[in-house]
Amino acid sequence: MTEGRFGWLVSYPKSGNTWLKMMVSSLMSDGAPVDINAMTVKTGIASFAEMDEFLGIESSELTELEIAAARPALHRALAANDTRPLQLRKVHDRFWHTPTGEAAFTPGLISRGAVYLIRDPRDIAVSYAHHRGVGIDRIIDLMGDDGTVLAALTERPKEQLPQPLGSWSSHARSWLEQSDIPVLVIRYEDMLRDPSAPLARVAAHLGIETTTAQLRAAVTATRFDVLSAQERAHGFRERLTGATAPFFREGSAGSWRDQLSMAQIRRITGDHGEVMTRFGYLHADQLALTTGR
Amino acid sequence: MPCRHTEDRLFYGYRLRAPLPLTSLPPLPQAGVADITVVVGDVPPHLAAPIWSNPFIEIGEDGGVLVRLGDDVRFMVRDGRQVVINGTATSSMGEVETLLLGTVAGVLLHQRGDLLLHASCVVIGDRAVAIAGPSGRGKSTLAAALVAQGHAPLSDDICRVRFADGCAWAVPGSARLRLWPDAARTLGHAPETLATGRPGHPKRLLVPLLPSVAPVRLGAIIRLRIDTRLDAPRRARLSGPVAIMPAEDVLYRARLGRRLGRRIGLFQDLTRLAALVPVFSLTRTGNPTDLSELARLVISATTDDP
Repeated sequence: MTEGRFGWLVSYPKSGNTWLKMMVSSLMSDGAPVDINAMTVKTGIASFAEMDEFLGIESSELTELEIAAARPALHRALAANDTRPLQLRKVHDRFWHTPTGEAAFTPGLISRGAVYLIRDPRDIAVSYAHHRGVGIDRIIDLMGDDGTVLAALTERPKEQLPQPLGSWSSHARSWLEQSDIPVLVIRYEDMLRDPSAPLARVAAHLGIETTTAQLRAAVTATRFDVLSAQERAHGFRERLTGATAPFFREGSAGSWRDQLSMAQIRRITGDHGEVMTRFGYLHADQLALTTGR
Repeated sequence: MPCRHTEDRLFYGYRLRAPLPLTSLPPLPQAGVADITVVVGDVPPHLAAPIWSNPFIEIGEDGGVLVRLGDDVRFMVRDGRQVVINGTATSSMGEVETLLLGTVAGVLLHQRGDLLLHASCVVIGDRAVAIAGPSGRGKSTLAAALVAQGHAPLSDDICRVRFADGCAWAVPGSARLRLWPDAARTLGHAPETLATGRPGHPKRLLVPLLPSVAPVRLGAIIRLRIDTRLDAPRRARLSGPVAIMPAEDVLYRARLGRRLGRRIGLFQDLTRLAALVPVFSLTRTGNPTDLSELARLVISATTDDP
């Protein structure tokens, strides 16, 4: 593993990235309890405030293209200004390049490695619809659209910079098919079943030295019931206004079976069957049924 | 379009002489020596040996700063006294004005050793109130809501503060408020009827009356925050170190200021400011319609807690 400064925790939205970040943060603090509203947990996604401060420019006056072109410079500046040996950065971007061909997530000394968290897109559709307070069909549209940008510059101010997402399938492919940054893929469903083993792999991938006791403590500190109890007691800053459910909603896999219509299931498997099959969310015979191939 | 003649304008308390019509700054009768001179000339695309650089800003060994946007819009800023604008930039006056009143102003004023808050400022009664916070918190929107209620604008996004007579004074800056279309709509403006500061950028320009030319005694600093968990906005008086920490959230481009020589002075100035002026946190909900309640809490901060 290189001595790069950043450990990128990457996922399509609503795939368990916040949970993973809390788990790894706890692990890096010897398994200490996590305050879900502490800033150390919230920070990580590149923001306008960071671009203002670290590049000295009025970033809210920049166009999406100008912001995109400056993202590698922002990452370099952030890495240069932080003396911690490892910074966790939560990322929803697909792996993308600037118009001049520079990778947004710079390899080498900037990036130690990336963890790609993948989740069944049928569960994402349900979770994301609750998170944004919009209909599931609208979310399925977004998940199938290669041009989707998270926090795009539109009508209102945002804290986060625009993040190119692409479709769910192209998002996964973009990270898994690049060779600039070493990537470890973790399935959300495997994290749910037994977080210890995937967390140990994440620690090894990012060069975090751990003991079994620390791993166990980090898993206990970030159990779903612990996090959701904190949200019930104190709320959670990352929950969007207009969301129709708590941020830590179910912490389960497979709820799509009760919540999606047959037509919605067909749309998702039609759009994403190939990548779903690759990660065990669909068997080849089901894919054939869906796509007619 | 550039003018052949020059105009004098009040620029954050300084006499700025420029061959451009900077109409959102108060005009001054042309007289004497200018504090800051803007000229049109050749600006190189890059500095030969910058000690710090990124795609927008390069700092030279002599403290000169190159500010750049795209291929054509370039500014060379020296000694807090002179700005050279690249000749090709003058065809993009909207961009020139946006940068000159924002990023370039920040560089100039840091070079001069001034104290700059990242704040939009309005006058309530006989006191100025600085609404401070990082980008995206809604400083300009709240300032515009107060202006719509009849309070005078003093400056947007950058608030220069001076110390005199044992008080802190907010110095008038640019009155143009930059608003996102949603905020413009909430304030009763049709965004499509407002000009954009930069072509192709969604933010709109609202230019209310020009600010007064005299500094106004600073009566309160309001640190704007967002907490989506809240049902209603909340205001709280801050004291001790939390009133001014993290300094990057209160100061305008603190890191850039430090690179331009303001290493110790910035924090000392901020400590002095907090001793003279009450500091409040004002926490918004995630709901943009809480604007009138926010405005009420800003106004009452100046009266409830003198």
